[in-house]
Amino acid sequence: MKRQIGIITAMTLAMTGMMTISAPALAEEEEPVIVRASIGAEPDNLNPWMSAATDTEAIFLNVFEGLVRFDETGAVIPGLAEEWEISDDGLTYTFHLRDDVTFHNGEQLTAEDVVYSYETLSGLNGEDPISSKFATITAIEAPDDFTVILTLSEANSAFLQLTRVAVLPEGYEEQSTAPVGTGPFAFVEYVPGQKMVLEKYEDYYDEERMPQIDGAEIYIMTDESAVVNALQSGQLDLGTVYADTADYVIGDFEVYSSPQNMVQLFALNNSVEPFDDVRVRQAFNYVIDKQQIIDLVFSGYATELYSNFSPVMAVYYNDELTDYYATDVEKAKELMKEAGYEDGLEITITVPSNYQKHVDTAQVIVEQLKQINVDAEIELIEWGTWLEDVYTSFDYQTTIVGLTGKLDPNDILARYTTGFKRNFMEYSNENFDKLISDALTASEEERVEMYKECQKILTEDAAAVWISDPNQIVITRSDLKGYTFYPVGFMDLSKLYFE
Amino acid sequence: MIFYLKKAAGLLVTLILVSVITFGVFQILPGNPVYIILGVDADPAQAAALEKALGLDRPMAERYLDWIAGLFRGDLGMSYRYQQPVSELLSSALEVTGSLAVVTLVLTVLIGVPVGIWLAGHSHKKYSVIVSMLSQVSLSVPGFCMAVFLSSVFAVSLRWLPSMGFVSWSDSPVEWLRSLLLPSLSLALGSSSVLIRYVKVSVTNQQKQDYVRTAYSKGLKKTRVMYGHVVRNSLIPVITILGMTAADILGGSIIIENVFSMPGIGRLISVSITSRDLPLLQGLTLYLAVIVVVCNFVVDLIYSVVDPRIRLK
Repeated sequence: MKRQIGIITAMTLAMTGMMTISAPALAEEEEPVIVRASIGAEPDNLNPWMSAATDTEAIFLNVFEGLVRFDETGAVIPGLAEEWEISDDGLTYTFHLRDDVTFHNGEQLTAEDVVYSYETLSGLNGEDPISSKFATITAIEAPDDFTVILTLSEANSAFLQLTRVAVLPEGYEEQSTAPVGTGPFAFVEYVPGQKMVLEKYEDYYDEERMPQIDGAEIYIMTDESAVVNALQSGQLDLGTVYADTADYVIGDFEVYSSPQNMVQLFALNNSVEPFDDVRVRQAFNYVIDKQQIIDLVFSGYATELYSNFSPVMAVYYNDELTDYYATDVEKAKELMKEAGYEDGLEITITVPSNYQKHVDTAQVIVEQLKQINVDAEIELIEWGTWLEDVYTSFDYQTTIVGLTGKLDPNDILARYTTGFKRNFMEYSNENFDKLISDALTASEEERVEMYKECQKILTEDAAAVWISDPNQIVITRSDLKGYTFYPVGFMDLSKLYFE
Repeated sequence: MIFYLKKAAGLLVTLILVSVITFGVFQILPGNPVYIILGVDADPAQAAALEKALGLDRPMAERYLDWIAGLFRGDLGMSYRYQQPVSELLSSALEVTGSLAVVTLVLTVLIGVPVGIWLAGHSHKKYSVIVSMLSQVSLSVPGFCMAVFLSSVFAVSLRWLPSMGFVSWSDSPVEWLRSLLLPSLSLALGSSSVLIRYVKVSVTNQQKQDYVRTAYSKGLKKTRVMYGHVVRNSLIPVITILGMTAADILGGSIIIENVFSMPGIGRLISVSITSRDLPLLQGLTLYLAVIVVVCNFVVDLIYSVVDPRIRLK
């Protein structure tokens, strides 16, 4: 027995020894400065043209660049093109490229790469197009090595913003496994289920955007509490979490919080009973207390919305709609009575089960709807099923989901146009459709007014109950500085530095 | 020989059935892998291009037959979600889950066997009540709770061990073990509690056997009787429990792997189902079926070593 105890003691000692051996070894030589961050989902594709997920883009905006880029306000700024001219009829775009840009594989960027990129995207190379957004391009020319002229079939004021799409090197076939771009960080590796590794690109052309860290490890972490534990155990320097989780992080950390240009909405299927009646939709808008949802579900870390538009997009935001449906239960009851639902109503709220915040929101809404005799039942479905049944087949009554932000108001609002493939609210209004299509050829001042009008129409028609723009919460080690928010998901690693 | 052939035939039938059922379920389940991968912001042209790249534009039945044909060439196909060969994904996940299984089994034995033996010999003492209670507690606390608890104590508060990730043995054996200790312990506490009970009962029963009395009457010392005879004869249930535990962990512990962000089999299983990644899930079911059969077979083998009276029939 004694011998046994001896063995156990020895093993325990050995383990304790192991625990201490690799406690942060003191840096004798210069260690590379690496930022370890978390994201909530696997990249959908390593080829930026084949990727659509917001989380993936947030990382890959460090690796890839387009002709233009965008700044913290969402405004277009020069990228690979240092300047450009747009013809008066809005049909010809002439881009002048920088002559000092190299891809991560060492090759210089020339007009040929841009021509190759846009031909592939638009399908002008004879293959199927990769993006339907570039279908209006009719000709691509390169008069010299650093000039590219794009010709469009119709004017589109949202087009310039689209040219932030990644430019990829011509003739390089390995984008899906070993991506190559021009950004301040180069791709090193992707370990499925675990991490993505990026390193500083030493030959990056823009001194001002030169990374101050040597690299980044982006861990794919699907569990919130795992992110908190990893931050607190010192294994992560930067983590993205929900508001209520942020409260559990104790210690030397900085918490950044900002609206993220998302629209979380209680979507009503405008084409099915009883939501084909505008009075019912308005009654729902009157009875749902958004501030209560924000307090209960998001611990206050969210911005109330009144149309399908976040105030983050300040220029185009219509700020006159705030009191349109100030919570008023009596008014809601009256509208329900007019619509013939005085005795109540039974509805189903279909919620994707993997988004806990939407599930929580649904629970608050169920309680609020009881005030007007509406008996709502929550149906939890898997995300894949949601995408098919709700988002593709419109086979649902009501749902709760978040629509991620876009840089151009057209991309945000056009989903409500009649016949749009992803208009899952099945909303339809001729005036709205006309404004959206006219805005594409209008001047900038006219556009601003038109998009404000569009938001107003949506609110008047109560196309949905827009709830909030939940804040994005980022927690960093207190000595890691420089975290910057953008109106779209972008973890700008080039701005990060350790104090 | 006929025994092995029968086993192999049984395995084959099982695999075919499992594979057909998986295929059938995916026919019924709504959800298109392309849209699940790309999400709500998918561009139609982009989705069509991805569909073509993955070969999803071909009929389902045709793809399934292709997969079966590939299987005979040892090709498990390409995962939709990761766009990598399924065999590569499986083998890297197996390294994680296999490591987890090995360390968990070692910890289970290290905790379960000595404590069980000790309890059998000290059933009347007051400490044994405490030990019994402790094992009762670790048995009833679910693995993920234990995982969160251990991680907040040893990783967050004390900072002795990492709370996430996996380091390969080839990179650093010490880091490998460190990355596995907490997840393994979370699993091992539960399984060792079961083991403690079995060992205790088994040892107590053996002590009542006639041969023990004979041994004592020969004048053998207590330790000699215990370790030379009783313990050896009590090992059968240990092997049964270990076999079950091994099959269980190798099958991927979805929750533990998520809590510790480990890219193992469990993680692959949940990803393959939520993203409707049929080739990956087919590969995984194949793997799981093989694991169960192999574990059972190995357990049978060890039985015959420990107790020569048991022969493979």
